[in-house]
Amino acid sequence: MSADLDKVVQILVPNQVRFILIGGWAAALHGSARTTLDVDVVYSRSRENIQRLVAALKPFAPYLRGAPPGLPFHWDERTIRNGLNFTLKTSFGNLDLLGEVVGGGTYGQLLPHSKEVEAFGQRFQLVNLEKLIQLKRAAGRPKDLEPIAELQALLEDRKNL
Amino acid sequence: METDRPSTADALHHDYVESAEALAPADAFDPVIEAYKKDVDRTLLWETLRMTVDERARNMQSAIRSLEKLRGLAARDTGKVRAQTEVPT
Repeated sequence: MSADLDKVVQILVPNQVRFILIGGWAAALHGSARTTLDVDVVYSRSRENIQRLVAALKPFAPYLRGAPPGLPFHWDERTIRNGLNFTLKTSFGNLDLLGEVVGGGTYGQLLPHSKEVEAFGQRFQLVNLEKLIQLKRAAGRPKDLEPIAELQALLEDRKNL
Repeated sequence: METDRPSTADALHHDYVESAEALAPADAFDPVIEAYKKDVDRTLLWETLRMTVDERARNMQSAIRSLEKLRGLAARDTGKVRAQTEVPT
């Protein structure tokens, strides 16, 4: 099951959830031609934001992706406060909620490296291309070598266009 | 008032993030990445670079939905073939 960015932003933005889009979808919004199967966001861990996040996603039955059914996973503020990063399956698709990301830190630390964009009629924060490349590099995954090459090509061509 | 004040976790990770800030710049030369870069289809990138962020988002969304549809059809057809070739026991 994939994740629709339009659904994610239609749910999170009107509910005033503070987040920064990273990962494959961020790459796509910068011009990457590669498809992705989930939406990755770094969310603010302020108390108010966690409350809004929990309320916003509750109707969509978030559950840990890949976990066997029936685990005592409760989508509530306590669960979010006690955890940090959540790879979720929801009724609208896959959503990765990251409280912190390797190479970028928390929402507050990543915010200066993001910019506001508009897509699907909603305005939200998108990590900038330079930081996105650094995040991918910091993740140190062999599968990211091709995407990093593409993102660097984008960086070069964006400057030259 | 809502703040994004550094939490204890933030403080504990301060050094770590400092080191993240010291990561190589995005356009740093890496021979491995350079090797991969040769295979990047730049014509596709020039097309997307001419689009707005919203157009890129809608384009990608449409591609993902088409892919999902194809996967669904493929799974259905695989199921049909299995059913047709199954030997009754």
